[in-house]
Amino acid sequence: MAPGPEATVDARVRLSGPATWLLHHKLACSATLARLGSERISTLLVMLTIGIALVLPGLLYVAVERLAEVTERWDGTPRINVFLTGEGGAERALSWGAMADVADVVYQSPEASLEELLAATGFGGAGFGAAMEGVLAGFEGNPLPAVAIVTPTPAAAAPARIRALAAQLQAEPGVEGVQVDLEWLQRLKAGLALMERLTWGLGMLLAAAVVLVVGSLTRMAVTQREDEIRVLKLVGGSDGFVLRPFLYLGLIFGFAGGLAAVLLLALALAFIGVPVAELARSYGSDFRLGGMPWAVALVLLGGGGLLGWLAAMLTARRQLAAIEP
Amino acid sequence: MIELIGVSKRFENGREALSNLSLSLPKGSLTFLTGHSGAGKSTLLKLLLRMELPTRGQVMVGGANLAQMPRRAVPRYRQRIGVVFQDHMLLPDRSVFDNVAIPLVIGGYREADRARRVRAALTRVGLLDKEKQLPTQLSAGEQQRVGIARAVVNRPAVLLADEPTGNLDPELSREVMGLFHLFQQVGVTVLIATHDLELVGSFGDRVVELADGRLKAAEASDGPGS
Repeated sequence: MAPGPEATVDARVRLSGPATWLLHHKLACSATLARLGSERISTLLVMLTIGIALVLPGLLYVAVERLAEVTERWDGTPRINVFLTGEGGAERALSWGAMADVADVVYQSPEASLEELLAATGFGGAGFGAAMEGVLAGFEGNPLPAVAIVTPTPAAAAPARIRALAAQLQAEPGVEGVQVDLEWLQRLKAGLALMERLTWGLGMLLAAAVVLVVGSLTRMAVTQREDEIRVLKLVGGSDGFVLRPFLYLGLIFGFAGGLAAVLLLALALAFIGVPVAELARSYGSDFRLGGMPWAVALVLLGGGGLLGWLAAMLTARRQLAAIEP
Repeated sequence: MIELIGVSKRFENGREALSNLSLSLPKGSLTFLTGHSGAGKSTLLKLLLRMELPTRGQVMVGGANLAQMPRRAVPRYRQRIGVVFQDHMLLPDRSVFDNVAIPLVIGGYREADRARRVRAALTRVGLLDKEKQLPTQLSAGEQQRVGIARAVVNRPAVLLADEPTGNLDPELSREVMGLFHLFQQVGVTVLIATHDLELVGSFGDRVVELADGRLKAAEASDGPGS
């Protein structure tokens, strides 16, 4: 190396390796921020583009998560309703409690069933009671059967074993029918699994779109500043030194896009939250989309930044290595 | 300081820009490199800046063999070489101060020291009062002087210049050449490629003339005049 006057510089003048590295990062970051600040409109447009791409999977994810939460809370072990005929149903039903897979049996008389029906349909009130009684008068006595509500043990909650238990109960004397409310739950869970897959698939597609957008923006920025890169390399700028501003460009675009996505998600949740709650209430559910989940917000911010950085890295590094002074 | 031993450079299109060139420039010397365009001046400078590698031969600068220098060591090598271009190659969107400070930023100088050195270099070229201006606000001669300030701001051991007076009138050219002599006097090895033979002759420094990639004449003169 040239033993020039600067070959042996002391630490009072020059920074250590890591401190130089930090200085370069600081300067690259502030230079990129200043550049973006001078092109506010186009920066805002890029930010929105990325935000829109990221908010869709974010919103789907929140909806699926909340639905899954509700179905989880909705007691995973389904009950078996056994409809009984004939006399002595209560005793027979309670004897099933001794079966290996049965945790609990509740006997519900026809009268209790009627009361429950009235309460559930809202006809229990004073005025409507009379109307309902009118309807029921059309039947000979109480039209509702006696029901035994059988709860399987948690160990027997697997669909196959529940079906086996249902078949076994069906074979019992005095049993008119067996109803397992298993299927709709299974359908809901299968639907949720599908939604989850779609969310991930869509998420990956749109993440790829973000990488492509930031990648092409980075490519344009490098092309625009080819002369500058040549000068910097000629006066001793390393590949890392000339690359750094472009990495910050990608990182800032991605992070700002993530920020836009978080804001859009908050807006969307507020916008559709009320109608969703209303729809759920009409189905007798207390389901709510709720507010912004912070984990999702963090993933959008961090993921956006990471994607932008990655995109800039993938495009700019090879492009810059090819620019030789 | 600079030593070329049997250097040949053949480009991919088959043109031989330098053939079997040997040259030695001692430390603290100032040398003019002349010749018609296409004689190999630019190629020689490119070899010294490690923009090109020789096809054959050795290029030694300050004891380092450029032909064997790994790619990742090149930036650090270039930090020790000052270089002045014909079209000065300043960054148009940065102030004069920031342009001159680039080598110091790359080299990791402390901020206070950066400011001190940039102002010292700008004082040397007489442009201290223009530090806040953009290069486009300056005249051609001033821009070239900013380029020179950038080249010498981290006190390199070697200063290379490629047609530094190409765009300047005779008076400004003499002024710029005066600056180069100033740096030579403090021990910098200076190599100036130029086709301005009249200007070269007026200084009496060593002149190396290239023709078809070969040494045509290397004459040492011992004083100004002629």
